[in-house]
Amino acid sequence: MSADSGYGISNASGFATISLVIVTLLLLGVLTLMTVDVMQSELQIGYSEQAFRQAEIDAESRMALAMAQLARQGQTVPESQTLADGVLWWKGYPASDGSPLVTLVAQGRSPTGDARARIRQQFSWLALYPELPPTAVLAPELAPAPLASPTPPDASISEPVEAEPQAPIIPSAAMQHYLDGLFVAQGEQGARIQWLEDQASEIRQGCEDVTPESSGLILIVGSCVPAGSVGSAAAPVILLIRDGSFYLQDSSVLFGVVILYSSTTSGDSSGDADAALGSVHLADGSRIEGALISQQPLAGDPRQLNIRYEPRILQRMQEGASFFRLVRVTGSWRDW
Amino acid sequence: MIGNRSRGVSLIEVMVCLAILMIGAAGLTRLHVDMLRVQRTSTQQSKALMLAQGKLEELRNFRSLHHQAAGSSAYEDIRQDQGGTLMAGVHDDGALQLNWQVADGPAASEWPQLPAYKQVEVVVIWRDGKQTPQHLSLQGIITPYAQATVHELWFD
Repeated sequence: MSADSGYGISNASGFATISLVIVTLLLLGVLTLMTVDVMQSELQIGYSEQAFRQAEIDAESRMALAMAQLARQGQTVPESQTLADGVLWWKGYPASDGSPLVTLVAQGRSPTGDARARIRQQFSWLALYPELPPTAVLAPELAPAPLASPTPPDASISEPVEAEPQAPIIPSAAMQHYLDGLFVAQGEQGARIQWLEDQASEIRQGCEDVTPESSGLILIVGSCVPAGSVGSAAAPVILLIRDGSFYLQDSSVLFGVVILYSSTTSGDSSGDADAALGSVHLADGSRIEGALISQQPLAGDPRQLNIRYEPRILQRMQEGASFFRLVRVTGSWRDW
Repeated sequence: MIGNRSRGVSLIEVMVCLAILMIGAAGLTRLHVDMLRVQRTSTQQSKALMLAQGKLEELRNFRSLHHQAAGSSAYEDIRQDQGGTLMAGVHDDGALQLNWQVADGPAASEWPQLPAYKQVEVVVIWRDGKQTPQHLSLQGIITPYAQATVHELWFD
């Protein structure tokens, strides 16, 4: 009896041990399976994120194409036109200055088609040169006096210039204020010329390739000696000449604005003028139809330079698409 | 007699328990190995995605159209495995291989209103836990206008 009882107790404890082991294993297995399931979910999330990023990049690419067309066409882009596949857009005029505000909505999808993304961004246009030069020559230490009477236009130049407007006479203080706004490195003011550099549509070493067909904002590093005329009355240029001089050869005409400045000076325009850099030479019969701006004092008498202040040409710098830049409206980007 | 029989039963019980434990441990080990592999794959995939995305963003954010001084990224510098400061080659201690291909946009007849632009495919290759090659590809379009000329505008 006692022997049977002992055997029964031992048998029961053995089953209990096995049961505990099995239960423990089952618990561990369930925990492991749950962890694996979480890891699989994480992996799936990673794949989904990848697919979504591909879709978003596709949408951004479509928007980039639409932006390129907006930038190319300027503010004249019509109300309804296909900009790029998968891009919806509309135009409004909420800004006080009348600049159109364009809203683009681009949709993209991943290569496998299992993810879609939609983004939105608003754009407007910003004039590169909203404050036109107030007179023909702006340079430090230049007394405000009328310029010499310009010579008549060369008959070989096909651009018709009808009137011979007189350059406005502005006070020295106003001239200096204008120059300071462009060159002096004080807070936001100093960023102006740097900002213009950043906006240049062309950056060149020298002016050999600058022609009458050239237009827009062009940055020249070093001296500029064009082979002939530059720009046209219908499509003038803004020449930023950094660390160089400007030479205009016989019977050539530059339509637009020439800005001479140095990258080494701190912006203090009261320093001595460098004889080699920052000088302007206009050969006989050549002239500038627009304005000349120099950061440093000009050698000689700038009034002897044949510079014709032409408001109509300058005005075109506030009209042509090449003088505007497409800008993102901050805070308007959305993805959803 | 009875005591010896009882010890024999205990031995069998222990052997059965050990067998169950070994089978269970082998299964759990396998699951843990799989789990680690999945985790590694997920981590590598995230790193690869970040690397590819960062490179594409860097190429997009060029500063000028034409090549300038060192340190300035230009649109014309965007070529196969060129452009930007993040170099092509191995990254993340050799775990990731980064490369990118650049091709011209579709034919002009398809997009006559647009200038030449670039189709960029950034590819990151790595090996998973089984040393099987894995790759991730991001494709985007970079236009010469959009990034160089688009700047921020604040509406006060």
